[in-house]
Amino acid sequence: MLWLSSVCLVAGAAICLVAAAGVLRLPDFFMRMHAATEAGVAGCGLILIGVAFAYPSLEIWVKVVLGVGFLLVTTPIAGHLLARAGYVGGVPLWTGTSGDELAGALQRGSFDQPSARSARRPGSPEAAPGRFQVVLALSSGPLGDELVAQAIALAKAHGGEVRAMAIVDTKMLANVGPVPLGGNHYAARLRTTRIEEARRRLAVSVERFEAAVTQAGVPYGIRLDEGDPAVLLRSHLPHHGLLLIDARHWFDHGAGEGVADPPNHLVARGVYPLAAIAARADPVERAVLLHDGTAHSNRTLSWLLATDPWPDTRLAIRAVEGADEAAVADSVRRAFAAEGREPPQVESRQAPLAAAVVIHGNHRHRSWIGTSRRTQSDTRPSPVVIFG
Amino acid sequence: MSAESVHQIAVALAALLVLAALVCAGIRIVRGPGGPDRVVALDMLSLLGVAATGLAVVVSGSAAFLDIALGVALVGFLTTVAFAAFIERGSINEEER
Repeated sequence: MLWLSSVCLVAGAAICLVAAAGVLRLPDFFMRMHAATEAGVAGCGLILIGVAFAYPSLEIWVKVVLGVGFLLVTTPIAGHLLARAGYVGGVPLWTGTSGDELAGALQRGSFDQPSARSARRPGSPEAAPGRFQVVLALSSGPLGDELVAQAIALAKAHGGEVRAMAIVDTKMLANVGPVPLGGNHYAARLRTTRIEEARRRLAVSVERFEAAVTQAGVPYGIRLDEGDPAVLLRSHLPHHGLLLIDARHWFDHGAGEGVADPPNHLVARGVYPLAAIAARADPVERAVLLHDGTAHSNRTLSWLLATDPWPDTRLAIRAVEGADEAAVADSVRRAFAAEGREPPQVESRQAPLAAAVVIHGNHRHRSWIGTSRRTQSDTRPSPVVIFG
Repeated sequence: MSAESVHQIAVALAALLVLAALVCAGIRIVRGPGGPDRVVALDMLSLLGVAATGLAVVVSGSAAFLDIALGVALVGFLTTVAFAAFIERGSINEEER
């Protein structure tokens, strides 16, 4: 009996550890929940059975059977409730999720990551319409000057100031890949040279930025930071205003491997709404919001109406493929009425998307960039793309 | 080796494994990143509490700990259900609605 007890106790504890490792390591809420419930109940059950084998008496066996039965009944319920609540509450799916079988079957809300939530709440009444603030993530790529020009134009239109964030992604630059035996010295040297190179290039962009804002006569502030850009930017999202980033260049400033798609990378990590600048856009005459009929698109729309980054710009609304056009028209009418403005017609999908600014109101993180590519294949790429 | 000494080693090993699991769940609670992730980690933590209390029965030899294990399982279930309701509303903070 003691042998059986030993086996059960160790096996149960090992399953508990595997489950906890899953909770720690798996990439999204739903996978973690699966690990916690599925393996948690098996681990606990085995440990309780191991206890019963160690002290085989009727009293203990009754309690253990009751306990295991209780776990078997409640844990699946708790897991199911959590998963349903998470889905309905709008907890983001992992960016690598291949299919969403519940899409359309359950109404999905939009749950922001709390760290981003406390910093910014688009469209909510608490986001008091204060001074419009432009936050600019400095880039040393060829688009750096366009970025600064756009930030200055926005700040001038609102009489606000430009806050620049000079960020070096030391996390990426310090990661030089697997180091062979005896290569530590060279790896350390490579790390410092990469980080110093990035700092040098960033210093040049900071100088150019200062020269440009001084010449334009716009008040400004600069903040220097080193670390993970997604975390830094998330904590500095403006309450009322817009975050501008370079659509192509990452914060390694050319000294590291870079990121293939910076806006996608940042959006997937909770940095939104943000505007990705890909070319010169001056003057901005027409902006198009791509509405997919979901609550998240509505939120993006009311955020956009409340912030109104380009006051003199004509805002057009267009329903994305697969969205219910009547529902989109209805929610657009309500959003504009709440601001006391005349709603525009919802555009047909066939019209060319010739706009300086394209705003994505899509809540499915994974498809944001995909949609933007599909809609832009027929025309020249839009200079400014906002992901909200 | 006698069955008793193997059993003692097994209990110690199981306790270490559960401790490591508790640390993993604790790290997830600290890291987040969101409220729902922390609720899942808390659910895991309460299950591990049941496991630890079960081990306490063997270590102390007192069957009273089994009742505690049942109590911990019950409280953990109720907590998870309550938190699930909060998540479904989209926010844990009432004023943010």
